Amino acid sequence: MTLILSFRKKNALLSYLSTVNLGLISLAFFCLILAFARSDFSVQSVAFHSHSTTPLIYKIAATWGHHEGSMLLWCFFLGLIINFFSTNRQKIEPSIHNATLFILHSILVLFLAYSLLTSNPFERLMPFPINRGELNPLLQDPSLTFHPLFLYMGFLSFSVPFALSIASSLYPINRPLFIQWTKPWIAGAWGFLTLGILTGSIWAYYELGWGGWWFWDPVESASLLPWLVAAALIHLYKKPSSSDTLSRSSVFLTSLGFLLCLTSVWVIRGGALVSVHTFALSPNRSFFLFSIFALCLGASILALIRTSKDHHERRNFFIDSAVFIFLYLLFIVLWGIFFPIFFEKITAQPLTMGTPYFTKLFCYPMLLVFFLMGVGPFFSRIGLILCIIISFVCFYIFWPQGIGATSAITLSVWLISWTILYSLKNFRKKSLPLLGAHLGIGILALGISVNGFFQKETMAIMEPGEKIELPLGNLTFDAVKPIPRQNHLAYQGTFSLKEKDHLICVFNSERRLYFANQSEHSEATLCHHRLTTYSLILGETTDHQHWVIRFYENPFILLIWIGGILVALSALLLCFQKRLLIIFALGILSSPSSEALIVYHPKATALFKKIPCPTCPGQNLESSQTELSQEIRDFIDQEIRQGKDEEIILKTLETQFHMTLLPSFPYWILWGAPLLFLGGILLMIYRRNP
Amino acid sequence: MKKAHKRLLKLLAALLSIGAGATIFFSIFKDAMVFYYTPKDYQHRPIEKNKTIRIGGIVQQNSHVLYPKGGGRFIVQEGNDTILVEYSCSLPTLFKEETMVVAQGTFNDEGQFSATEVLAKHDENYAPLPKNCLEEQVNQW
Repeated sequence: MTLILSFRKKNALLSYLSTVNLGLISLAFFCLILAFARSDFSVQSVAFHSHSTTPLIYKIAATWGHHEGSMLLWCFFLGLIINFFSTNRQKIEPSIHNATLFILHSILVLFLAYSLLTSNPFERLMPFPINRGELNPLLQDPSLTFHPLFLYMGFLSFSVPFALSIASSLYPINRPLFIQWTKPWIAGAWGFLTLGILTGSIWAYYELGWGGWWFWDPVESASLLPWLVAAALIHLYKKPSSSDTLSRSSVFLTSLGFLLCLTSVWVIRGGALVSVHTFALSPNRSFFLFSIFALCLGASILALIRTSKDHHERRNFFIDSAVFIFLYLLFIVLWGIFFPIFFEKITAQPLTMGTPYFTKLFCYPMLLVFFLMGVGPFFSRIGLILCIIISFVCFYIFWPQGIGATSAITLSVWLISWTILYSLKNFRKKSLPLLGAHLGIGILALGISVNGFFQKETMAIMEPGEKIELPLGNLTFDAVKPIPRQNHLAYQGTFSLKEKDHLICVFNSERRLYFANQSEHSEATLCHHRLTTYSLILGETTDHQHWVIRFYENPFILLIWIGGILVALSALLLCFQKRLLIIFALGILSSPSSEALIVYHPKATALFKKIPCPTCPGQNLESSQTELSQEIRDFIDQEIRQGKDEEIILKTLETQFHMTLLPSFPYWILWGAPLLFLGGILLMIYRRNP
Repeated sequence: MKKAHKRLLKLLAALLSIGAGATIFFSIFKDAMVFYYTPKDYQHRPIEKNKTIRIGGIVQQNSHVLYPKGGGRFIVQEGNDTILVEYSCSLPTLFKEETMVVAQGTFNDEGQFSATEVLAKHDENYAPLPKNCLEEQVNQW
């Protein structure tokens, strides 16, 4: 296996060789996936990160769930991107194309060398242990399966604009061409980063059970850096220019984007950060990553010196201020991350930047941004009057809640109403990404501000049969029962939330004790009711009778996810344009099919698809592998064969298994949608191939 | 003369706004700095009361007590030095005795540390950091 990787290093400039490169890297990558799928424990990374009882999808996810595998994934994506770039050479001048390819290949070689020398995923273990480790149960989750894929795709999309900006210092490129070539990549990077950050926070929200989804931890904020640069660049490209020569600002920003991607990889992986998340790394890995970063930095500084200075360009107040604000936010985040590092180096006193730093210097200035975002691109007189009226109503309603909440909510509503009004009045296909992204940000902001100000947390110690009063109703602890499973013992507590005798939610939260390493883990249950998400976590216990429970009310948190997805989709629309439709179609086709070993009655299988798995988010009863689901499946099958009606069965399920049978979420979207983007990119490479 | 006046005014305005911005920035910045202490530091370094700080160390075995009305307390340990931490917030799922914890909160006037946020340190596999690899970790933080 190492042979394949080392063979690959014979690198040539010619672009057909990049296809060979890609072929070899993907061979290595798929070998690793295969090793994981077949649980080949003689490979060290498989032995440490996978278990024979892990479901197949998470076995595959474990391929990139650890450092070595994820670096191979990184190289695979880089190879994919290089190949994609090299196959559409018609548009780009040969000399620039070659220079760019050369730079991209050098980066790839560096990363392959890194992977080969410091973190070889194919390291063998002799004699090999069987079932030594497992992918942490926390990581066995659909959103975290796709989180690294999206994030890496986003980071690496920056590599092409970076290479182009360096090439532009060797061979002059004029501004419109540079924009035309780099814009799809920047937009793609922005979209994928949004998706990556989003999946990460969704996971943190309901799996870690910290009751929040963003903590301004340096590891999180680091992913925000390239995102801000991409946003600034997209706005900068919109700016009309009087001259055609490439200005220093765009070269600076494009190379900054990739440098920041490398910085965040190095900083997070290098262990220089003061963070709750410690991604431990040996010093030579850290040094290697830093050298790659330093090389790229040197190259971009040289490129910057050679580029001509900014000319007197036409001013556009809104675009200028947008770019300025993004750079300001970038500075704030960057300073918040790096100041503690410098400070500790100088005074040997560790510290972190508290949340107030970010809320005061990042979130409040954002309010100003929302104001400008509303007026800037969508101005019209009637719109102004209408929006002022809407904002005043909003202001009036929320005034008793305090000035912070009022202004945040009013301004996000202000932005949303501007965008909607504009799209009603003069909608053009061309401005769809702009409208979508701004609307998405508005919805996101509304979600964040409502959730931030009205989130409620209740903590109590309860025993079965106890009832507590909450502002919205009362919460009853019905029962708790131990359920032994394949690799853990789960204590499942059943709670019901009632609003004046009207049942809103039933929670089946679990506290699990994993046998392998004696670790405990709480599995939260979520319940959506009128845009509010309630979640209940069964916490610690001393005597298995009294349990600590935590109950969260998160109003409007769904809007955060919806807004985020809207932003990501608009960015990807800007990147792929019409081709996005093809990707969509592919995603719908790629909805996973599952094979059942036991043949059930066809009516029963139809019913399984409608019922969500009670313990595993993201799966329905049909695809879930847990014993509880198996039990329920058998039960349903039996009842169906006895000729009972569907509704009666559903009712008995509710009483017998304490299940909440809310209208089932089409779970294939959860699995299919991310596959669609990745599959779509592959498809596009082949479509473009002459 | 007129031009010079204009230039002077511009310069003054720029200086004033930069000054105001910097003042606001640094006042916020100073408040938001959260220092990190270990139980050993606590014995040797004076800690300001009623200022938000973070405390990190290992949760002592059998020291975690839950209060019947919610919240609880545990002892953070480093070598022979300990700090008693009272919390009223929720605990992360990775929280476990004999593993590394980071608590954010303040020392009140009686010298009691009350935490508003308790975080569990974890490694790249999201497993809590066990005791044996801790001795260096505590100080590295």
